[in-house]
Amino acid sequence: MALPAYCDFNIKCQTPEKLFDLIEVATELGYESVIVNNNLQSLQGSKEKKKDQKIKITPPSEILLNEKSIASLQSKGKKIQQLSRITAVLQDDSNTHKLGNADLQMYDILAVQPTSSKTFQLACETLEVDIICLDLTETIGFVLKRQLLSLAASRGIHFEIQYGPALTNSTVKRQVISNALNLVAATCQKNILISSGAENPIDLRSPYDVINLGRLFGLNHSQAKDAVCKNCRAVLMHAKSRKTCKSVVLVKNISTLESKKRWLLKAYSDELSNSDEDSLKEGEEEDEPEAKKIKLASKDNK
Amino acid sequence: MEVQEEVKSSLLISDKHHPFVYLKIQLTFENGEEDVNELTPVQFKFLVMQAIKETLGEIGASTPVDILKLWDEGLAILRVPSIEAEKIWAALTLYSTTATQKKCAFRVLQASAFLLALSVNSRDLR
Repeated sequence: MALPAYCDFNIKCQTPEKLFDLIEVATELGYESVIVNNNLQSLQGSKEKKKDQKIKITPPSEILLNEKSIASLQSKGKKIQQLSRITAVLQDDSNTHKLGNADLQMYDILAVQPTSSKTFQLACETLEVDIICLDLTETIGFVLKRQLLSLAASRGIHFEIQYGPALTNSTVKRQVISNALNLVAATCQKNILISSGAENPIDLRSPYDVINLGRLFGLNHSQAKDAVCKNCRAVLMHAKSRKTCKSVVLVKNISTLESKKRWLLKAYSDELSNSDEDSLKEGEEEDEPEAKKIKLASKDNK
Repeated sequence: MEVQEEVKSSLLISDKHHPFVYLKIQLTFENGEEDVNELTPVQFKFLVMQAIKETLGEIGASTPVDILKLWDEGLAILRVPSIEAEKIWAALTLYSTTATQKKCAFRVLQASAFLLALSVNSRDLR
């Protein structure tokens, strides 16, 4: 387990000079990784506009700082790591297949912002994303069902609270706090991230301030700390596992194996008895179809 | 240099309830718009009270908050009752614009129940 590394999950993408200032302030405040966010207003795009849309999705290498400036930050003796993230606003439940597009998958972290109960349900139940962020500056407009949220939590999806908008004016502040309390209560204080959404360096707050702010959102101290440390790490790991190839491993007791498939077991034990490395490899290869078959069989049983 | 023969050190652990929490805070303005060195303690207190009032209202602002010390660069030590400390810290965090529409931020550098603990910052040790 790595040391606690504070992480800010949402820094707005902008010109390199401004971004450099932002990241510099973030390192001074004690953050060790920052995530630059690219907001995508809509996944839609009719066929004529397709070319426009392709221009819209800028590759992550363009929104991040180049290595030289990061190295200059690191030379001051502080660790800093930058990652890219894209947030897609889900207007309706069509077009979600575009989340699988290569230009979106190039980003390190994939987030969605559902706008209706339908898209929210879709995001919680099926979409392969890392973060669900809701617009907390306005009334959410649908009920946050505990079952849906716990389902999303069990799939490793995290929910984001942005405190940046709360710094603007008092009505927005009120709205953000009440929505955040709502969200935290609905998720049972689990899988919460607190991020800044900062555009200017002055909008950033130090991790310790953010942890204390988490207390205001109904988290206890350790949960609030997790919201800037542990959960961030979990999201990064989730993103990594999402990017590796999809695989299934099924463990089953030998005694429950169907009589038809007994030959697999016998073949495997024969392979093992010729304790060569080559035979081991073959055994592994054989194992995979077996697992698949068993998976299929279990599906049939259901 | 003479080396002292006997250096006694002691560790005191206390589980008593402490009435106050001391916060070491720093006020920063965006792009150095305003010179924080020229702030008088009265002005500083006004900003702190405004920050508390904005988030916690009049009842929150009725908690006794004292400025014990104000240095250059907007550094200050606040003394707040420990029950209210969390709320007041959060209120300071959420403060972003002054009455004259200048962007600023209160950064809490250290928080402790003991005033002496603020004399050194372990986060600066490298």
